Amino acid sequence: MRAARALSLACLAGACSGSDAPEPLPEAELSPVVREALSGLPDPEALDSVEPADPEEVDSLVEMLNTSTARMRDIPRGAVAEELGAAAIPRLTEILRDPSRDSPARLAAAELLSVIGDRRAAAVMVDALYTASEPWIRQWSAFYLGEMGQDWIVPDLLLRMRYEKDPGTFVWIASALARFQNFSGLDALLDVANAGSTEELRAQARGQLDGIASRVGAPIEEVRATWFSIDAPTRLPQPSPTPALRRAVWERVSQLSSEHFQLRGVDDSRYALSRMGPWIASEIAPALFDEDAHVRLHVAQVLERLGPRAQVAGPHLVAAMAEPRIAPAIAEALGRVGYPPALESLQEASAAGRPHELRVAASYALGRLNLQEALPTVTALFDDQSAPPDLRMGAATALVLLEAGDHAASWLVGELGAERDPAAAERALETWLVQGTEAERPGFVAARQAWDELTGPPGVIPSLDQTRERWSDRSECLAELVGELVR
Amino acid sequence: MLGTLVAQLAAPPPPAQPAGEFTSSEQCKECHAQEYEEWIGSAHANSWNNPDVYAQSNGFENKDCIDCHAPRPVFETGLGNRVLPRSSRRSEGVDCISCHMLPDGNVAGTIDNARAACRPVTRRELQRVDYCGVCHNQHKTVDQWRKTHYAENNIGCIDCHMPHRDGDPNKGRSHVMPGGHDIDVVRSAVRWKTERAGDRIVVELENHAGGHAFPTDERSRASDIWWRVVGTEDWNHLHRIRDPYRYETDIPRTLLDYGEVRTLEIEDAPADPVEVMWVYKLTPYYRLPETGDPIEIDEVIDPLMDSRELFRAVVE
Repeated sequence: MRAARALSLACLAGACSGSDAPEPLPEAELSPVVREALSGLPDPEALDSVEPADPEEVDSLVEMLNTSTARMRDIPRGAVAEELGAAAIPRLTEILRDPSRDSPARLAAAELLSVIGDRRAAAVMVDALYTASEPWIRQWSAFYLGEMGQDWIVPDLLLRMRYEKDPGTFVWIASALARFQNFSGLDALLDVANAGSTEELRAQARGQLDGIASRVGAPIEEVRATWFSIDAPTRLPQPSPTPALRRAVWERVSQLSSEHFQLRGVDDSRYALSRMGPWIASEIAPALFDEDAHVRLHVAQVLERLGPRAQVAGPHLVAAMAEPRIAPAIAEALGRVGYPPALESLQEASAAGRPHELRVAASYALGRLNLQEALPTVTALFDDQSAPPDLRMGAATALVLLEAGDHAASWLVGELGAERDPAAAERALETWLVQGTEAERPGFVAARQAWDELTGPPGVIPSLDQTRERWSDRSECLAELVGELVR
Repeated sequence: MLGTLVAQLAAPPPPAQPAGEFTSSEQCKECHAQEYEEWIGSAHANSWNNPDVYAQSNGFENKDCIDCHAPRPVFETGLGNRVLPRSSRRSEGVDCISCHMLPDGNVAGTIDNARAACRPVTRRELQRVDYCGVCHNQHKTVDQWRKTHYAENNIGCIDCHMPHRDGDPNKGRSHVMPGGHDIDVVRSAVRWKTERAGDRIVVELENHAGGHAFPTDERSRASDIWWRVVGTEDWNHLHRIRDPYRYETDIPRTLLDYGEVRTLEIEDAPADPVEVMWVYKLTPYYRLPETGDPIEIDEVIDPLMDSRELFRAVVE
């Protein structure tokens, strides 16, 4: 927060004037945002410790459930929870984890843990979801985690989606997530519903999809599309995160920091955070001003992955662009988030005299922002033949994204056959070739056909030499056509 | 809370360009043509454009791999810390600037020369294992090296992967940096023995000279042993050497650690001569030649389609 004020004051003092020469950089005031956020949220480990219950007592209840035909449906859950209490958790955990126990006993233990339902019980279920070798235990753990209603487990559910191999468990993780108004599991659920290995599995997934659609009050395809859209915060039910969930989120943010060397842990946290849903954008945006550069960088990447759903963080992103180490990443995020008020800042960031890396990132972002007002800037960037090629590539790509790619097409064709960055030229040309209808752009159909014929077989990963050959062939092919196409 | 904060935020000017900024490794070429030519064909230079990397990283879409495949200068974040990803000239991969640029705009090298265009200053960190480790230990290579006698004897990454040109220290170190992409280098790390013992064929593998596990990169590397009866076409899979990547939660770690000798057996071996082949893979999977779709290992017809041959022997 202090950083934002400091930057704002710098602007008021005249540092934001748009003169030709770059203004001196105001020192972005950074602070231990993550540490402060965590210190303001309750520590989950501060639960009272409990005296373990008599194992025989717990065993007898498990046995009763194990042999009962009515099982828990006919037993008042509140009464059982009161009777058992947290004291039973250690013994129930042992039973749940013990592969030598029969399946009904382990399932009864899981059921009882869900009835107790406190944080400790949920932690046991999360552990089972991650470590149980039997898929059925993971499936039931996911199911009960949805039932227990402890929202702090949402990041754990999301991350498990990444590593889970069992389609049945996918179904119940996705279902549990939806109970917390998180619809990140819909793709997996749809996959299983359409292509599950058995009819039973497909039916299970369809049943969960129907339930979600019914609770939300919209067809499932609409729920899915909205989840990824700018409308998600207004058209889908939004969670009311508890302090425990907010703490879990900030713990994930802290794992992005430079204290952690292994990128895979960082990546796991970035993965989970970027699937938390739109509410996370305003929650974590202040971390763009954390004292740790890696936190700032990766939080920007989380917002970038959220895309338009992170527009609420737009002002933070614009302000954070003053910090040179992460300014390029911020520019990239602004482009993907598509925050229109960032236009002026991005234009200024792309100007001569700014750091090269920032100019390149800003040039791409100006295209992704998709505002025609950016055209004069990116055209000028592209037309500057003395500019470094990767800056011109960014501007050329932006021209294509702004549907003005004709201006850069010949140059891109040349770059496709050159050694500098043919992959970027190929991506830009591919986008350019599919723009417009046949009536609007006659000749493009034939060009696209010729281009497509030079694609390798589907699914084949070519060698670098084969790729170079493709670039060269496609460049030659379009070189013959491009003059006619842009005429 | 957010509304109040938003009202306080305004757009400050972005950072200004430092004087004499390097924008491409091509700028180094004029004075360092030999190093440039060595580097441009190397795996480092192709770390962004390599189609396999592109495929395995989902086109870098999720940004998981950019940090090391197009890194900002190592000196910017320092030894032992993660590098930051860069947003420009990504197609240059791990380039001159990644390793040699200092935060103050000078260039790290092996000599001080204030009169040269890039004003090199001596930085001995360039020779340290931890320097390479900022990226290569993401795949645990340096941790593996620390357990070898190479570490005890201070024989580091550059001693094998950046040898002196023609073995002559006066000629400087090669910037080709051969490693997993050079089958001769890979072959020099391991050796094997094959023999018949009664009704079994014994295959003994040894990592005798790799300064780390074989193969070292768990993301993309694997190695397989295949066998077939001489004169037949169908290969049988005997063993896979692989460190499971994080998604591969259902396969065991079978890396051949440095110094390890591993004995495999083909039980009830045919009495006819048997051909045994050890292959090295830059990608962990095998694919159908027609479609490129990944296939199960027992569906593989030609193990060499997606692999390189290390050794082959006929056991009579």
